[in-house]
Amino acid sequence: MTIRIVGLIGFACLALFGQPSAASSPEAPQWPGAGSLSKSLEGQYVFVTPERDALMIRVPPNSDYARSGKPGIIRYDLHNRLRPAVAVRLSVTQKVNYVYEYAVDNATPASDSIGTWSLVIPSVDGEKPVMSCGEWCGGLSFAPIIRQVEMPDQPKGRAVMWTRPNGISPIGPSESRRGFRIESSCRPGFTTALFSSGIWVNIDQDLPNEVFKQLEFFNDPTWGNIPVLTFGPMFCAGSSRQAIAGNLISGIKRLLETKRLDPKSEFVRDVLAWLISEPENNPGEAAHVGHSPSGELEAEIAKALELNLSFKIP
Amino acid sequence: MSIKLNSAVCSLMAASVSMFNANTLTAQSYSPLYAPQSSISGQYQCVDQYNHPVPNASITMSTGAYVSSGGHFHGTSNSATEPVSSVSPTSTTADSNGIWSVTLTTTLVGQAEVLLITCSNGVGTLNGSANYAVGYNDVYYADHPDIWIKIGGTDTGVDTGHGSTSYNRYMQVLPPGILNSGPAYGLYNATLSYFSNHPGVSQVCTNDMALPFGGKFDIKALLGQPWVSPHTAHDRGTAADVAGQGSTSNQCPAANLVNISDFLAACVANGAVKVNSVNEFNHAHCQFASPTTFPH
Repeated sequence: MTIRIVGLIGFACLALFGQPSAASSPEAPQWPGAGSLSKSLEGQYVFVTPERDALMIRVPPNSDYARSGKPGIIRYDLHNRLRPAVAVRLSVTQKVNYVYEYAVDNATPASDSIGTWSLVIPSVDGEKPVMSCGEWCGGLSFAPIIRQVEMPDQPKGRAVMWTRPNGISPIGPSESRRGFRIESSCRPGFTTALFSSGIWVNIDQDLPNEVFKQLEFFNDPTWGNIPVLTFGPMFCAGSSRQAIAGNLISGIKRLLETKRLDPKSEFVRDVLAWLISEPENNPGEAAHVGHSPSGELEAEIAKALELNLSFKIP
Repeated sequence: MSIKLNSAVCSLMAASVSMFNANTLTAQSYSPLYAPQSSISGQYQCVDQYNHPVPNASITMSTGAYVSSGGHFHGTSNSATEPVSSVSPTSTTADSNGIWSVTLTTTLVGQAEVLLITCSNGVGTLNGSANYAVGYNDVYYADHPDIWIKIGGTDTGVDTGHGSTSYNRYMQVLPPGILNSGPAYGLYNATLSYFSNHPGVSQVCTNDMALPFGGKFDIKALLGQPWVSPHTAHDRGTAADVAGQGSTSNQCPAANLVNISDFLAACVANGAVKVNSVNEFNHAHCQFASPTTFPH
């Protein structure tokens, strides 16, 4: 059996541990331009460009740093002008493990290259997903600190990361790469994929403390990455039906917000209505949805529902 | 009549009763351990050989540092300027019960120190001493030779005044549940993450975590700048340097030099602070707590 998911979709996250994924620090204000600083921003030293592709630092004018003769305005390019898309294909092995195979595209409007990407997965003791290691290799982080950027109500997780070694090309604009693979005992759910150039932003450590205090938001390891909703190994043994339903609701709502699902779809309405009401009312019962999925994306959601919650779909 | 100092009633640290009980200066001790740049207050009592308080005794107090303790092997030329915790007052008179108050203010240097006290009355004088140390009680020896090659010490050809690579090897451990138990675990996990992304690499070269018990890591001690910054970020056991591609020091085998950007990303994904984890061109500096959270 396979599920084939094409497009900018995904599934994410379970609620075993952790806190919701909303950002804990407010983002810096938009950079108004060097000569356009309003009175209300006089104490503001950190800004973000309107395109969210650079940090702008206005050095506190009375600081030792300013007196040292270094520039008064510093731009840190985030190298994140990416246009990522990810497609995932799911299959089930004879050992009842789930195999997730990803293809990553960087669409033409991009002007930076993808040099590393990661997928948020739950931090579950004993769960050791096996990742592909081809020209790009995969690694796991441990601490559950990575936000579900696409679904802020879902818990933080850890990351499966792929990076390119020296000498291997990044995914440039209009390029794509296949062969990213995870095998896991965990069933599919919506999750967030995070894309970056892999070029490190090196903040000058001599900047005054006032600047670092205002850079709190940047310490979020997801900030500056480009997020995409996709599917990943989210529901490991012991996941509750409520957690699964919560994840699916968040993911479907996000797909509706981003207009990748049609809000008038009767299948989507049926599924959402069932997910919102039934897991608590009829635990363990198979769900019956009156309308068939329409189109590839709805079909893939239906497959995921069938695998996780024993959905019966006409 | 003789006089002795008794520590049974009071201590500079509520949890400890280990203050002075000897008349002569004994070996250095790292217990009790007082945090750098902290102030500790307590009361002491002077009693005679019959354990009777000595009323209105004259007290003098001073502090001293044990040279070459805490991993500071700077030599005697630097000992003249070695910071030492201050005691207040330096002279006072005990009350009618032989009790007086003491405040000890520590420096930023992690090392073994001693409080020297004299207690006098018209009959005699006693010299007492109390050993203690300055440093953090949550930094531990973080050596994992299976994954970390130790560099940055005299045994790898580098003398920063802090001995062999056994001394720059201390990192903070936090209670379970806080980012997988703190910086020591963060660096360990980041290393494992890096390995899984870089097949064939099974060891990396680590350097400059913190000195034993933390405190000022005066990296230029032998270059005319003892007891001061730079290297502030390494004062707390929350940072480490990992040798990167581009390093020319010959301390680390070429195969074990990391891709700096990748290693920094692994650190951040395992709890390091993004704005303070930087590419220092020949090494990755991974910082697991903002330097603004500890004194410098």
